[in-house]
Amino acid sequence: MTALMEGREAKTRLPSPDAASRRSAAKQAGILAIVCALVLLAAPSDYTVRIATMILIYAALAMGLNVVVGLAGLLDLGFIAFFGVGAYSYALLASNLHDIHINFWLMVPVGMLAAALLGVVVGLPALRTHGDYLAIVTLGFGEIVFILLVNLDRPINITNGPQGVLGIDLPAVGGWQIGREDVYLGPIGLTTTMQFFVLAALYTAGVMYCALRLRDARLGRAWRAMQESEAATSSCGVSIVRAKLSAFVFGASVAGGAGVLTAAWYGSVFPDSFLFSESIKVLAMVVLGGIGSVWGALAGAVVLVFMPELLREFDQYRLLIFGLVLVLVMRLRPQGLFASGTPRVRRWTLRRSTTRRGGSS
Amino acid sequence: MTATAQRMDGGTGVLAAESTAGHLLSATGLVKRFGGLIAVDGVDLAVPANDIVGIIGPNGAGKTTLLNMLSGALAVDEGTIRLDGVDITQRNAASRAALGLRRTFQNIRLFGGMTVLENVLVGMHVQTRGWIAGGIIGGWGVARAERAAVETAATVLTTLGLESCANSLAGSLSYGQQRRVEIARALASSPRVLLLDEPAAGLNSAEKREATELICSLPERYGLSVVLVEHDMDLVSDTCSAISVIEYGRPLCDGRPAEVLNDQRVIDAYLGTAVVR
Repeated sequence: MTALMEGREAKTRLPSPDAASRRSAAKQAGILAIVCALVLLAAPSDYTVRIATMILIYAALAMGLNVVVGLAGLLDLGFIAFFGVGAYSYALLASNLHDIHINFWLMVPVGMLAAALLGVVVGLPALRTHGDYLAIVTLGFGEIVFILLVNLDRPINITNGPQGVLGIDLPAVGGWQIGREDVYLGPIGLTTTMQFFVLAALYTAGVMYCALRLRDARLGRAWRAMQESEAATSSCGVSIVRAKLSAFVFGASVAGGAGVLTAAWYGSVFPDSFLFSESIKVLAMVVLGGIGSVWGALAGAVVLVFMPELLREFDQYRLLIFGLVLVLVMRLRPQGLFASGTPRVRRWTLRRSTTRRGGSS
Repeated sequence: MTATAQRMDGGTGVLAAESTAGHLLSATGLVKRFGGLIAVDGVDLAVPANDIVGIIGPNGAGKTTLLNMLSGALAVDEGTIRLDGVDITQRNAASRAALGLRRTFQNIRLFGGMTVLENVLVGMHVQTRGWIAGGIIGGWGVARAERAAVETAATVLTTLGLESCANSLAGSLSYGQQRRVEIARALASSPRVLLLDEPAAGLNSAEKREATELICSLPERYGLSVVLVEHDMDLVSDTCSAISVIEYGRPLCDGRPAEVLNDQRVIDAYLGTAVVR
């Protein structure tokens, strides 16, 4: 009886692991937001802000792919296709091409949903294969999407083919359109580029929060377990197909949302932006940053977007130096820049509960 | 193991069907073929509630294949498996685990890159809540289930003497500790039947004694039944109330440990038949 009461009392005192994970994820996403704000304040030019926005969008993509490759261990070589589907769903439903103008804020979830649906359609058959075969299937899927985007201008013009879609709507808040003109809030001026930077920062911070939360949640545990032993994971009651499909769908919807955002920012989309090489670029960010690590995905995006820009002045040696740096990083730090460790949240949670247990007995 | 293996023909067996009724876990006429090889050929099994039964046999007798069929890791070619009267033959491993049929592996399969606590929490997948949205938002009772799961996991880890390494990576533990983590992972979900595949393999004599004590205590403490596949005869005779022997995938004999281990057929199976000139 006493033991029971002690147990109940202790239960109310014990901090919830869920709350701890929520705090930690919010803190980290907050740090990203603060860093973004600092970048905005310190940025010397619009050009810098544009690069930073690009980094953020790639970082969101890399965080999404990191869930698929890093957590669930599924090598997806057609990831950029989901980005393309998101971008094109906004381009087709919010431009003069078909004279449809659906609101941006509605299109973000729609684009995510479209990519997620495609993720299910591709994932259901593809996820029955393993390892290299899955890589080949996803690679083929990526090519199919690209070829569709190029060729769906005949017999009925849907995607406008290789010419792409121009004149895509800007996102609107009330009567004010983001990215139409520079705005001044007292002394602080936000150029059109900066406005999109803020949008991208919000999106990426949101993706980071979701990715961190999922990693430590029940589903993330199942993903990480599955990567080590599918047999042992299914013997724990986890449906492997469902877990894999969820990783695929989550990654796809993150890419889809990023696609909508990018289409609105550029004001135009072209099939060439969704080539296989882009999938490889995002994968390189994940691997370079540290497979399985959320901050690593960001670091990978910073390096792989920033470095080619820095190397512009070396002109024809640019790719050579770029390749050399990649080889060196992987040689000296094969686990990536940010190796994924054991987050402090999880340690802290049990330490509290075991010390209490030791004290009461 | 109560009455099984009365027949040697591998058929359906009316006798077996009668004798397995009312048991917690029962299997009748299990057959597994790998191409031309018949790995398991007409094995029956009946596990009463709160009991420990052993499956022994020489190397390659089909013990692990049998266990894999019971756990759902391998599809059954012929025969039926029932858990508490429910036919689970067509269910996959995950669904059987959710029904309370858990296992450990002969070659330890822990999630080495995750902490011991996380390993146990994966084992409690069925007891925890939330998927994509639930995992991100944390509502719908997710937080409560997580907290309860950590509590239970901590209790089980303490019982198995693993509380000090709860936050260590499972891959960094000693072999004996890893074996215990595997058992903890299965135990935390309060299973009804626990299938142990050679839990004493690779343990030293002190660890083996601990393992014996632990296994003996399981039915009473956790209200479950244990199916033990093992090579170590001391462990088997100290823990099991009944033993079934299989050889070349076929049932050889079964009964109480003392009888079975002194049975001439079993001795012959293990040591070979003496050549009489």
